[in-house]
Amino acid sequence: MRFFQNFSIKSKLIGIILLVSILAIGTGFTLVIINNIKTFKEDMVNNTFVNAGLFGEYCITPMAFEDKKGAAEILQKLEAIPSIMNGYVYDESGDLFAAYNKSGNTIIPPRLNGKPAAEFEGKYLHVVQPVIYQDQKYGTIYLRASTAILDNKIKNHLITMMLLLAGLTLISYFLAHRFQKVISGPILKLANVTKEVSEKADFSVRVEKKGDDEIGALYDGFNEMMEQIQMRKHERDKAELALRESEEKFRKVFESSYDAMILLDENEFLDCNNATLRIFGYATREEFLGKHPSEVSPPKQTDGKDSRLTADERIAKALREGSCFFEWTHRRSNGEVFPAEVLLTTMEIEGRKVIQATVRDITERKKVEEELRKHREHLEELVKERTGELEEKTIALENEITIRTAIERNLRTEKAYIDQLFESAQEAIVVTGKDGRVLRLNSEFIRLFGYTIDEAIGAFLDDLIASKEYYDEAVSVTKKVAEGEKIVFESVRRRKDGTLLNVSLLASPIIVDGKLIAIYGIYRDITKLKKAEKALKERSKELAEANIRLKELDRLKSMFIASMSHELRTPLNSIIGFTGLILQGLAGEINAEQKDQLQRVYGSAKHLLALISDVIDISKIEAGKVEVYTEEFQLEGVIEEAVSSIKTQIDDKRLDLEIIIPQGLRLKTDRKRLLQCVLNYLSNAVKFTEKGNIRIAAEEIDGTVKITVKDSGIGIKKEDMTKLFNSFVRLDSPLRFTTLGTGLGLYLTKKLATEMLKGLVSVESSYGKGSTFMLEVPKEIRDEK
Amino acid sequence: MKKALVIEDNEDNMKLITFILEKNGYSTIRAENGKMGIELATKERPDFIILDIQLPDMDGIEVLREIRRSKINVEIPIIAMTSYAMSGDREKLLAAGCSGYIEKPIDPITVISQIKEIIGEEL
Repeated sequence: MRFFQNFSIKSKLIGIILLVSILAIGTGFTLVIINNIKTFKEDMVNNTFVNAGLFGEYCITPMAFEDKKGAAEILQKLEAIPSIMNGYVYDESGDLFAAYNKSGNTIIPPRLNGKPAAEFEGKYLHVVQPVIYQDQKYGTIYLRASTAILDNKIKNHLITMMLLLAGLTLISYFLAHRFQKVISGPILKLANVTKEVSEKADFSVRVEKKGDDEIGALYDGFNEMMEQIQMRKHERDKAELALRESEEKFRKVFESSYDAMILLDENEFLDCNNATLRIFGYATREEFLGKHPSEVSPPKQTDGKDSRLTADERIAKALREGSCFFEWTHRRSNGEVFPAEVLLTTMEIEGRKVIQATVRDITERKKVEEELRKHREHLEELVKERTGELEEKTIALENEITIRTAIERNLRTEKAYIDQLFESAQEAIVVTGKDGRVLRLNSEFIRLFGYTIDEAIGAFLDDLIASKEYYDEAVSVTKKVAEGEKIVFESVRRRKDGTLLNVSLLASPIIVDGKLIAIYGIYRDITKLKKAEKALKERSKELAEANIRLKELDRLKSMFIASMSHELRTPLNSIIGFTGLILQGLAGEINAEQKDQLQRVYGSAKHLLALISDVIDISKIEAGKVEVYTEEFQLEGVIEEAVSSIKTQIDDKRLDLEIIIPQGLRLKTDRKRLLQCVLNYLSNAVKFTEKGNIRIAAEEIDGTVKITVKDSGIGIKKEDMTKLFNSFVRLDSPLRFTTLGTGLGLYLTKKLATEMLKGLVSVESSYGKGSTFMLEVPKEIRDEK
Repeated sequence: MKKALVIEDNEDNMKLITFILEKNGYSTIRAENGKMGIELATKERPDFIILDIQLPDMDGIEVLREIRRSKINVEIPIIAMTSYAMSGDREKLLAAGCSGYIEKPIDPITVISQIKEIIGEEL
């Protein structure tokens, strides 16, 4: 089988097709041939039978008539039949009756059993047939035919078939040859393409799919594969390129580096650049590679540590941490030791950890550093020296500067003061020389006298501002001052425009170091002042007149108040009086209703009286018409009086009253007014307390008597406290409408206390809890009568 | 029955005072001005005098002094009626010889006891 496997597809396909064809055709043909042969044979047999039959029949008559000759003649006709060689007719006893033999084919007639038979034997067919006529057997006929024709026929047939077969096979071959291309073509193509691809390594090749069968699929597969391959190749090419480039770069760097660049692992140097050889003093790479770092270093480092151990440590550190940077002492091939900076960097190359070392010979740098250091040290010393000197000098200088600056500043300040003073003075100031010429002047001078600076400077002062009448005076003043005198007086001077003005003048010499260097004059415009004086005089006169008028008015006021007092009260007298009498029943019995109504009248009248009294009082006080009448008295008496007048109300309201008065406390003041105040407080306390107690107390402190009236009443709101002692203030409270009040009580009390008793009033309160009213008066007030 | 001289120029006030006095068992003599008052004080010899300080013809104080000057009436209680007493007035009155004073407007309820107190009667 393997043998066949190496044949080309074409051959295989053709072979298969041919094989199949041949098999098919062969089988078919074989069957056909067999069939045909059979048929031929049968035909022959049949024919022969037919002939036998026929001739048998022909021979019946002869047989019947024992006509042997006739039978023989008939049988002679068998000559016409090419195939028949012999023909024998037998009678019913089986004896030969008649015979025929083709020339040259004589044989011994066989003995027959009379049964019909056909038998092929060798090249002959033997046919035996009974001769029967009308169910009578006359004999048997035997024919011997030569199969030569048959064989020929068969032979021909076979040849034909063979030829046919060959022909078909050929056709088959051609067809196969042609049509195998359907299969093999694409495959071969693919094979070729594949070969091409692999030979030329051209992965851009694709095959065109022709059909959707397995070949098509194969093509697709192929294309895809190519695609993949191409892509991979592309990528790989890229990668390769990148790698190559990077490698080149590295190589360049590696080689062109001025510093030694070495690749090493834990044990030895693996690769190095030219700079390495230069620095370490080796001629070839081979000499250098394979060494351990300690082999190009002195046995011990500058710190005394062993080079090999330390080197290994460094390498280990780099491997661990990825990098390591340090200074190192190396040794050249000639034994020269040099300082270096080493940077170790760990890399992975092809899965293996290697270290790239960059070694820089820093000998020069160290030298330079050393020199710099020395130089710097030197410089520093120099600097120190100089600085020391400089400092001293600087300090000295600074001191001087400070002093100078201070002096300057003072001077400047002084000058500034003076200038400012001079300028901003509200008086006109002018400085003249001894001769009287103006040297300097201030704005006020300009403003006052109307001259400009240019006009004034250099001119004679007296010419500028002295009027004709006062000229001589001015000159004499100037003279006096020039002699050292200081002069102050009032006079008249002249403005530029000729108007005169009153001035107050101060002229003084300016003496410096004993020498008179200038004169200054200060002029104050007193015109207004003068006018004011005059006005004042007039005003005083007016005032005096007004005063007189006022006094008159005052007198009238007093009379008015006095008469008001009287006039207002008089009718009330009757009202109160008579209603009181009637209420007492003194004018006769009154019924309840009358009593009620009269009580209302009585109450109102009382209220009105209180109002009038308060108003009159206040008017008097406001008009200053009240005189303080001092008398000596005991406080107890006043308190008792006040208490008794409100006793009934207290009892009615069932309030407790506590009185704490020191015994024998004597005052010297206006008793009546004091009583008034106390009474006011007490009646307020009673009015505004519904339940609880009222306490009146007094004490003497340092010549002041303090009287307090404390109640447990409704109290006063914080916001109302300030207006409490104002006139006509009645605070909004629950009791407002159930108590009578004028609203003047506290006001009057305050007035009395402060203006007449020379004392103070004050109040403390807690809304809802109660109030404490206080009155402080001097124990003794001086008699102001 | 005690006799009271009332010197008052206002008619209503006069009625008021005298009514109260009479209701309280006193008899009354009326004078409507100062002059009359002085006359009647001497002539009638009342047990006490009630004198209105504000009189039309004379200053009440003057009347007071006049009455006191007449020898007969040195002891008689004289009660001054003032419609508002200035603290100073009190002194003047006392100095002039008044025994006491009642304030106007009169409180009908308490006036009698005030009067009684001054004239020294039991209430």
